[in-house]
Amino acid sequence: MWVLLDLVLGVLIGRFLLPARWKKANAVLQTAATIAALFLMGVSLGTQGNLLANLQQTGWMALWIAVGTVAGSLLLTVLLDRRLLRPHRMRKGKGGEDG
Amino acid sequence: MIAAALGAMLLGVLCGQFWFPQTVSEWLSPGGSIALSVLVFSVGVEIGSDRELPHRVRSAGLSVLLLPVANLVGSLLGGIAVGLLCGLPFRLAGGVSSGFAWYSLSAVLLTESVSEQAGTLAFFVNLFREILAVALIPLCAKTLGPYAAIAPAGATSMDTTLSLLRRYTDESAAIAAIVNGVVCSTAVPVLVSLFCP
Repeated sequence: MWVLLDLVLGVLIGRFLLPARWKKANAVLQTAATIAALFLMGVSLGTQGNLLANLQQTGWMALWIAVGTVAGSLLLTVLLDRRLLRPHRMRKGKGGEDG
Repeated sequence: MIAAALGAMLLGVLCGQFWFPQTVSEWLSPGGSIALSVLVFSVGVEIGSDRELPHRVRSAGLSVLLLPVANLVGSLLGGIAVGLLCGLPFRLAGGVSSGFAWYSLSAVLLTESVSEQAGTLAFFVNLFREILAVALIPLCAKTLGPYAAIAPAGATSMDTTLSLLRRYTDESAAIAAIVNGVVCSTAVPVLVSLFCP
């Protein structure tokens, strides 16, 4: 749950306190934290013995799950687009307003 | 960024496996939590400081908010279904599918809340999703329409795949892509911690 509090705190500070010129510093901080977090994740992975065997098993499963997420998101998005967004855009276009 | 992320993780694995003594690895482990806190906080700051966002949503029409909902629900249904078929527990399948191609954040979150193996799985699921998105965006834009091209990109539609989406779709789809990316990015920590508290 602390992750959510952390996120909300960031949103509030970004919205109300952070001067615009610090946005770039925030981007640098984000990249540095990502690299550090992944490096440290790698270290704790590396201290386990059977890493390669795990990876061989995980790789294929990961690929199939990734295909599943892409297929699911495509299916629902196409359905939404055909049933709702496209007719809405066409109505807007016929009305001759902001298209 | 993919190269830097993969390089950092690989270097960490090599250090952990061959060079660092066990005591150093144990000493470093609280650093992972600190880096994660900084990362999540910084993501929040980025979302909060985008002052154009409410205006962009209004100009694109509220129906554009339905797009990330379809993307989130579809990704979860597809990912969980395949995860269950692969023998994963429901919560873990949901957790790894909640990365929406943001491999770095989802991997670190799952390492922290479940285990290193879960984090590795999340890393590869979401890395593969980003690679699939890069490969599929031009094809989807051509055959299924501009809005469908946003679907595979997940959370990356506001940054790493945005330039590709801009090139293969139109202006209104590019705005929808930014909105989709913001909603999906915000949903990553929320959904991962709901599936894997």
